[in-house]
Amino acid sequence: MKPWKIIGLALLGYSIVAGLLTEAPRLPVLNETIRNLYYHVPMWFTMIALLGGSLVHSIKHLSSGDLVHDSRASQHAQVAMLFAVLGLLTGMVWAKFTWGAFWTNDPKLNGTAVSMLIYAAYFVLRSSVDDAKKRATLAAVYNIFSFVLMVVFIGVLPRLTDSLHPGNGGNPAFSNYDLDSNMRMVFYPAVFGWILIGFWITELRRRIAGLTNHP
Amino acid sequence: MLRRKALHALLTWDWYADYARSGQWFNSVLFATMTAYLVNMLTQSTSPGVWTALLWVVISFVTLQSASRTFDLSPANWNYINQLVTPMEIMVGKSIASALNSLLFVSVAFLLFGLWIGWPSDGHILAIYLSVALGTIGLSTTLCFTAAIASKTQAKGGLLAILSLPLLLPTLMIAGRATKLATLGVETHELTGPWLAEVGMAGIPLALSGLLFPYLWKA
Repeated sequence: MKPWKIIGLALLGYSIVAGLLTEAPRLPVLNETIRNLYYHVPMWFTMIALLGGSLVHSIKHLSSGDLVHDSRASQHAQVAMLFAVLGLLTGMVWAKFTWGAFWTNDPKLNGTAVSMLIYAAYFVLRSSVDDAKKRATLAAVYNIFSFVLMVVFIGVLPRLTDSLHPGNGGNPAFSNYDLDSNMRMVFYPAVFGWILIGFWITELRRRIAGLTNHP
Repeated sequence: MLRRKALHALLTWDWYADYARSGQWFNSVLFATMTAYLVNMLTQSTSPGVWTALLWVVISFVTLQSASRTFDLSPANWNYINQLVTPMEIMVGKSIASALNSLLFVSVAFLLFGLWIGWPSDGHILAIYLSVALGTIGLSTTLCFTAAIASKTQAKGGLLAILSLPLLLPTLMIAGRATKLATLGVETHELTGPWLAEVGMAGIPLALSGLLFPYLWKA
């Protein structure tokens, strides 16, 4: 097993156990749900990292014309969507306990829903073209175009409009809540652990695709 | 490099294709009229927020309808155009033509909205129109590019809506906010930020389209 996979497993194992057992700040409204920070936020970091990987492979495809990169771009996007679903589910549970509803009209939530729709459209586009070379080029172009707009949507817009999320719309970020920084000792390992696991899952998908004769 | 002569040739071509030699423009005017009238029938009096939301729903569909025929040319026509201009010039020229077309049709819808539903009482009409116009240009630049992608597939019409609507939301959110502020009658200096954001949301897709379209066109 490669070292980065062992590191990923170790960080993930540590963050899951430490996330449940270590001391968490006592905050009104959030209470013990603040521990969801270790499980919910890393999903988004992983999704963005994987979509970044997909973007890199799309750029590589356009510059080289190699269909392998197109396949990799698609596999990264597929796994990214898995993490988007997990992030959405963990976020909905958290929202129910802190904001009183599974879904609110929050720009960050809308951004996530739109990101998932964009990549659903990416998969629809891929399935609409029979010719592999043409499909690869169209998908790569759409992927690059939509990634930039998605980053604007989920990164910039929530900062311009009112949001219930910490760090957005004038709300203080978690770093302001968590003055003793204890949470960071679990949060950052969780982020890196989940990202590594995300890339591992993508590699497994690539190997399975290789066994079934799809590059 | 963009040549003014090439852009002029493309715009002239579009003018003849849509206005001088066919009644294509009338389809879009009729579409804008019918959607505005439908809204009028369903809602008689609205708050500024609802007025803005309904207007932008109408604008989204009008621009989508207008963009759907941007790349709708026969292979022979494309062969001819490809000899005259570069792919980047096609994209920029088509984006300008699409934006001008959409502005015309959205202006019709906007006027009919005022006529049938009425203007928000506190808003400045020019400020509202500027917010609408900038947002329309933003929607057009995004739609023009997705129309180019959809034109390369078998399922053009349905795919255009699927590819475009999620990508239009950032522009719609910014433009909707600017329009709502204008309908509430806020001072012009407070609208400068949202207007600049609208310009940015038109510029980003246009710049990306210019960079990516040559690859798309090769396909």
